Parts: sequence; C-alpha cells; structure tokens
Amino acid sequence: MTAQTVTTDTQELPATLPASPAADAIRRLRRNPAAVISGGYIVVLLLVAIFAPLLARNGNTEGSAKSMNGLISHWNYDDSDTHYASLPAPPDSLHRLGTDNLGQDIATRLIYGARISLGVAVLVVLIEAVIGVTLGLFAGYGSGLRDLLLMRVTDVMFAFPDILLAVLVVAVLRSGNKALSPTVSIGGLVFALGVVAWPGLSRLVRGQALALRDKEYVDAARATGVRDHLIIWRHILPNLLSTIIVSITQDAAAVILAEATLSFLGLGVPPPFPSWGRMIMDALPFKETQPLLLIAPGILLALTVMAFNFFGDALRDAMDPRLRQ
Amino acid sequence: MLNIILKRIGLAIPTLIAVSLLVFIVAHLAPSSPVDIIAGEKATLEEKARLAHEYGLDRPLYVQYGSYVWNIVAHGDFGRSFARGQQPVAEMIRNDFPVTAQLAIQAILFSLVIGLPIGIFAALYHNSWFDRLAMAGVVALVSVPSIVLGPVLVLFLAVHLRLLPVSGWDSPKYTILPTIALGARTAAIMARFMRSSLLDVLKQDYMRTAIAKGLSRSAAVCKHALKNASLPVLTVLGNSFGALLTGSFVVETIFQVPGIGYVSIDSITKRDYAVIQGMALLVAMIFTLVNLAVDVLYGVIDPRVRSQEARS
Repeated sequence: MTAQTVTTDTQELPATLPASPAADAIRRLRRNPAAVISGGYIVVLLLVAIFAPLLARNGNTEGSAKSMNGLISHWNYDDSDTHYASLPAPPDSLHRLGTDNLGQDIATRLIYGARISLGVAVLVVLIEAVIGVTLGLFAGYGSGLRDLLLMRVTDVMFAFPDILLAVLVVAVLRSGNKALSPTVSIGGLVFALGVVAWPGLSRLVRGQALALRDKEYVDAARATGVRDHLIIWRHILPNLLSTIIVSITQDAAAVILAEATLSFLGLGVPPPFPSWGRMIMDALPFKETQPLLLIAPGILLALTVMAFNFFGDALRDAMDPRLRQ
Repeated sequence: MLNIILKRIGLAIPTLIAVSLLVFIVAHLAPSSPVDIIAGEKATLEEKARLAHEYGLDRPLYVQYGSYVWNIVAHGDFGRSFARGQQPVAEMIRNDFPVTAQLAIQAILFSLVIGLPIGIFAALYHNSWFDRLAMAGVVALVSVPSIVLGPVLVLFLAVHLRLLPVSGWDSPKYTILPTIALGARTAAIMARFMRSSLLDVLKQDYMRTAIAKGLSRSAAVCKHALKNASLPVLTVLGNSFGALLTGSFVVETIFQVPGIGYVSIDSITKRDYAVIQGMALLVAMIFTLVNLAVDVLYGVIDPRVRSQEARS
C-alpha cells in the first residue's frame, strides 16, 4: 500500500520538479544574449580551427596533421603566384586579406592561427585542471601537512607576477645549444603555461573541498565506511564540477592571451606555425604600408579573449545563480 | 602597528627565500650549462672544465645557491652577463631598472587618474548612460591586450596623426604612448573595482546616517564613502603592479624602451641566463615587496584589519 503511494507520487513529480542543474544552467545561458553571442563566436572559432584545411583556400593543400595529435598542421605554402618584390601585398581576389612579407596568405594564417590559439588553450587548461584539481582535492580533503605544503607552494608561485614564471621556464627550455624543433617548442610552451597555471585553481578547489568535507552527507558516507578516495571521487568532485568548469573557461582567456604575448615576444610558437601574437610582431615593420597585417590578427585576438571572458562570466552566472549580482 | 609591520616582513622573508630558490633551480634545469655558451661549440673539455672552475660552476648546487644569495644580500652582486662582455648584472639593473620603474609608476598614475574618477562617477550615477558607456569601455579595454593596443596606438597617434614619436625613450613626449599602452588595462580594472566597491559602500547604513544627520551627498561621499571604498582598490593596485612589471616586457619591446623588460627578452634570445635569472628574481622580489607594502598600508588605513591582526 505504502509502496504504491510512493510510486504514484514519483510519477506525478516530474511536472512540478525543476529541470536538472545542467539543463537549468543551459536554459539560463540561452536567455543571456552575451552568453549566446560569445558562445556562438567560440563555437564558430572552434569549427574554423577544426576544419581549417577546408576553409583555407591558399596553401596547406597537403597539410599533414602529424604533429600534436593533429591539433596543428604543418605549414606548406604554394607560392607559385607570388611576386616577392611587392611584399607584403594588399588584398586581391585570390588573397582576400593580402599577404605578409613572406608571401603567405593572411586569411589562411589567421585560420590556422585559430588552431594554435585554441589548441594550446585546450591543452594548457587540461594540464591546469588535472594538476590543480588533484592537488586542491587532496590538500582540502586531507588538510594538515599536505594542505600547509600546498598553500606555501602556491604562495611562492603567486610571488611571480603574471607570465614571468612562464617566461623563465620557456627561456630555460630554449637555452640548449641546439635549436628546438617547432613541435618540441610548442610542447615546451604548453608545458610552461600549464605548469604555472594551476595554483589559482588548486586554491579554489581546496577551499571548496574544505567546506564540503564537513557536510552531513560526507559525514554520513564516512560513517557507513566509504573509503576516502571514493568520497572524494563520488561526493566531493561532482559538487565542484561547476566551479571547475567556470574557472577553466575564464582561465582559457588568460592562456590565449599568454600564448599570444609569448609568441609576440618570440618565446612562444615558432615559425613556420602561424600564431596571432607572432603575426602582430611580424607586422610591426609594415604598419605604415600594410596596417591590415597588424589589425586583422589584433582584432581576432581581442575578440577571442573578450568572448572567453564574457562566456566565462555568463557560465558563472548560469551555473551558480547565487553569485549573480 | 609596528608589530604588524614586523610580522608581515617576517612572513615575507620565507617567500623571498623560496622565490630565489625556485628561480635558481629553474635556471639550473637548463639542458646546457652556461659554460657551453661562454666557451662556444669548439671548446675542448679542458677549456670547459677550466671555465667551469673559474665561474665556480663545478661546485655542488647548494654551495652555488648559497654563494649566489650571499653575493646578492651582502654585496648586491647578481653575477655577470656572459653575452655582454662580463658586464655585472647589478650594473645593468642600475642602468635599466629606473626606466622600467618610471614607466610602471607613470602607468599606475595614469590608471589612477583615469580609472578612479570614471569608477566613482559611474557608481554615483549608477545605471545612467555614463555608467553604461564606461562599463562597456571597461569590458572592451580589459580584453584588448597590450600587444594589440600598443601597435594600434602607434598606428593612429604616431604614424597617421604624427602627434607623438613612434618609439624610443628620450624626452617626456616619448613616454606618453608606452604609458598609455601599459596603463590602459589597469585603468579599466581600477574603474571597475572602484565602481563596484563604491556601490557597496553607498548602500551601507552609515551612509544613510551621514545624510540623515544633514551632510550633503557630496560631503558624505567625500568624507565617508571614498575612504572605505578605496580599500579593495588598494589590493587591486598591488596585483596590478605585478602585471605592469611583466607588461613592461611587451611594451618595452614594442616601443624599444631600454628597461629591464627589453634587456630580459634580449638576454633570452642570447641565452644569457645570469641576466635572465637576475631580472626574474628582481621582478619577483619587487612584486613581493609591493604586496607587503599593500598589506601594511591596509592595516594603516583600516582599523578593523589592525585589531583583527592584534587578536590573532
């Protein structure tokens, strides 16, 4: 009798219950114009990066996706139609945005630059998430000595402003006598940015884990004999997911900026790979004759950073309405 | 008060030691030794061993670290540049750091002079057209990196309008564009923080009390609100200073300003890592000291922080 009542109740419930938290967040995101525009921009950029060989008209016809698991293709350019004397060349029917001083099509380089920019961002953010979440969880849940150690290590890392530590790591990686191959260079860049990116996230995760550790449901799990690593995996981590997702989305903007800045300084993505930061640097000598060389990657970079900033904020508001101002 | 300052300094010392250790370790993880760079590729093993001995590079790492730190603390000696004919790094710092410091201070002043009034007026005229316009500008500026803003400023103000010099570091006129390129983002961040901080304060009960007892709105804002609202901004100032120091790497490269950023990047391409090590250490130390100063200032301005510290 009782059992039947319960079943009837559950059958009636869906009509009155709110949607799942994820569905709820998506619904809120779709209502926010800033989120739709920035999210749409990011999706389009991702598609451009993935389908770069189809979109780019010039060059890279034989682009082989052999390095970094296909994230970055080698750069082959067909320059049979190039007149080197007039480089960099203004836009024409073949090169919609003109060519740079090496005769490379700007539009194509911008498209492939999206691959570098987003590819590096994704990899760095993954490294950041793995290190930051693992250390943060163990420090926050374990507390004691581990916690103290993590906090002191992050203190020291925070003593290096902005990208200084990444600059130092990149400088050291390049200090060998032999020139690094481009793929190794990009790997080193990802390593440098990933190694310096995690302290912020790990502190965030630690703080939340510390708070969740004393919740009743965690006590209950512990009382019934659930092992610590299972409690962390099943009960603490799922509750942190929205915090982590929001944090790494916002950090993606910083990573894209850092990659562009390092590439601009000649410490990031090496030629012949196209990076927006590098393109801006290379365009500086031609700013008077060919300002488009400078402005096109500049606008793209600024828009991308802006989109990730906006989308990160919108995601935060959508996933945690309490934070909304 | 003195106690708090001493305690803060006491806390900063281990951080400084750890920072120097980290810089030292990272620099010595390099795949090649500086000897390879000094001696060149054709040097024999004996020559390399002699050079290593001369530079003290054959000693154990902890001895090298100890003497590196001792030389800095006791003699202000940061080692010598390998690539620039044995020039002492300390001398390079003495020559180049004032330029970077001037640029950073001008950029901070620029961001305060521009950012704070915009933030204050945006908060006082909350939801007005000015507020909306200012916040849209803030969002845009925060997202425009200096590697884009710098060249664009050069393009319009120096190349097209010919108002200012393109690059270099001579008269004050030369410092205007680098200052704007470096300080614009910080100005935007200041404006945003000042606005939200002041909006919070304006909602407080003591503001209502101040107006109820007969103060005019402007007097209440000047006397009570601004001081309280400036506290969070102070923290941002400390953090921004670090961003300005590394930002100077980019801005000095764009405008060919002979500061430590320009020298550091140049040293990286020359693999001159005594210089890189010294400059990285210098920047991290300055950043730590600035944050220390901000912490102490916090205690000076806010009695609540003082009493909290005294109790703990």
